[in-house]
Amino acid sequence: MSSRERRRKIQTEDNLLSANPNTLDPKTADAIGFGLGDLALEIAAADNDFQAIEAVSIQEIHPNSIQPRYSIPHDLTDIFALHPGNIVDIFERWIIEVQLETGQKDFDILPYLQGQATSRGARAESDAPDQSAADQPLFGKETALMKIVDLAASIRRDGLSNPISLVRHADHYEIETGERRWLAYHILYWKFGDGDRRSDGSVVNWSRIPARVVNQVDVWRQASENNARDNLNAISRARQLSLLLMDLHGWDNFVKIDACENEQAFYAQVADGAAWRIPRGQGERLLNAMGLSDAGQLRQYRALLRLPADLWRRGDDENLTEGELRKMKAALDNVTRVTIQKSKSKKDAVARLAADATQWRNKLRKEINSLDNNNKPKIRRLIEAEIRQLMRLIADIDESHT
Amino acid sequence: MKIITLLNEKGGVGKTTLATHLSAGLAIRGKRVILVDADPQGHATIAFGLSKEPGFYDLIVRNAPFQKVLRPVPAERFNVPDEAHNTNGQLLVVPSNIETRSIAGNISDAFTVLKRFNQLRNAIDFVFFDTSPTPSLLHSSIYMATDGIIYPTKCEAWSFDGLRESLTHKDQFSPIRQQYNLNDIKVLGVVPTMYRGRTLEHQDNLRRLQDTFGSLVWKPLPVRTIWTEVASARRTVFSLAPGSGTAEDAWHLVDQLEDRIYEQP
Repeated sequence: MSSRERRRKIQTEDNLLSANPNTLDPKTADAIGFGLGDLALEIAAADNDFQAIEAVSIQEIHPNSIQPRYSIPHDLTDIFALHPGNIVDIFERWIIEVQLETGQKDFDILPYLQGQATSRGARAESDAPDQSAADQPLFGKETALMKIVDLAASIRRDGLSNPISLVRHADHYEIETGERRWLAYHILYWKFGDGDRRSDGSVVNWSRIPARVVNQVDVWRQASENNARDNLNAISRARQLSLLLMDLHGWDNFVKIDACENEQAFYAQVADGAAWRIPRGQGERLLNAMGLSDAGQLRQYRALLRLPADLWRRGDDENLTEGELRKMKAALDNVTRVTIQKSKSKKDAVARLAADATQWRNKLRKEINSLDNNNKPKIRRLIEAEIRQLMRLIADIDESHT
Repeated sequence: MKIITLLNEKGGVGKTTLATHLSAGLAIRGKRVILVDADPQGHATIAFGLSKEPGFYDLIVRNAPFQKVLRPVPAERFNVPDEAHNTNGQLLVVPSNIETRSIAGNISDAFTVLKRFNQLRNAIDFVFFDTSPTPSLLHSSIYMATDGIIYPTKCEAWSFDGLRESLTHKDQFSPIRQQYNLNDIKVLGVVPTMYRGRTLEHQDNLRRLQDTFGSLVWKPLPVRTIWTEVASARRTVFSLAPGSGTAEDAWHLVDQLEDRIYEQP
């Protein structure tokens, strides 16, 4: 092609200085037809396989009521329903409980979230494990809280590598997997808000969490996700087994969780191994989903569904193993010992309540003194929760006297 | 699928021209090629006269399906005229616009780009990323996705500085890639562009490049007016001036790329 011909071709294109250069718009470009043929079909297939990841507001997300893992101690969910509006209250209260439980008055989660050196970290680095472990017993509520705080710190440092999965309902989303990641986002939003600048210079909005939206909760997918991540405690595994068994037998055969006396009663519906056998041909699938190797273990986890209510809660809050729970159940059969233990634990509870109430009174007094209109509903909620907790303990004390 | 990135943290060294011609060359030779315009300027997009929306941002942040953002380039704009209908290859562009610069602040992890393009690993042979000169978190995400890098550079001091910076950043990603079991990024070539062989300055600088990078340095691409004509015509040199010496130079680039991609380490 001669230089003159080239110039002619150039003249046919619009000047890019004009306001709307005549670029090929998508429709025209597609219509010019360059017969993508098979490739178009392959691209369409790839698109179909892709579950889009959306950034969903953490306030629109509600936990799944039959999720096997309970990330928050039962004491706290007794006071505050696990509702997005309550999460900050739950963590505030939780931190105070850890302060009371461990005697560290200045315990705060902020240094952990900021990745600063902490006394806990220093203990880990000091390489004197035996002694320090003896000096610093691990407390249940602290361990449970720090699991979520550590997760939040790692998300803040490295980002969220695995989006949570949600089911869309009319006015909210329900968590299929990722309750603890969602709680971690609540902590990060509470402490850092939106526009948080990370050490690598990137800016993150903690009010929205990356999520895949799925059509419905799939307990099998949930189980495989749970096994792939942090190991579940024995009670959570028992719950997971129960959910899988209910799925195999059909959900219509069981009462919904809201209609049950408590959460354990819901899962205990399949406690009877003779009535709810593992369907033929499903044993292998069940073992795989539970991450177990033999059927005996399934029986042991199923037996946990019949634990006395207080042992069930304790096992869950303190992450007791299946073996420990079995032994404790055997010990509980000795009635005299049980009574003694019970009265002792009541005494402890009353002593703890007294210390607890003082600290709460101080905190509330401080907040009420600095009260502005924005804080009013929150203070009211905190006081109401406190009254409910006190009423519950009074009822307990009355009961133990009779 | 191979993912190849054109990089130099200095602007105006010929990244876009090289990206459009290497991707077009492979498409003419029968490959299925995607050219991703990852520069907010969107010049790889207008190089083929395509509209800038919807683009890369829609794909990565709004999770738009590929069908919505992939724009096929009409054969007459990139292919050799009389062979226009003889190829089974395809050239598709993911356009870019000003929104591209906000991608970095809206992705949650460094694997976003890799994960998205992995979906097409069975449908596509090559993906080219034409990047912007200013490093950002988006570059990190592209580094995690990339198999090989080509560094265009002028034989001039500031381009060398950009080249050195780019190489440092690449090396910073090696340990991270190892951690995730990804192979090291292969340097496919350092391409001297806009070379003026008669000037002592360019001659000296070319020698410096060759001393430092040895056989990684490709044959220099001489400065020619035709490259700017190609941009005005929104075509490739293969399409606008198929018989020219410059088209021959461009084919030589494609040859060198093919040699190096398929060569065993």
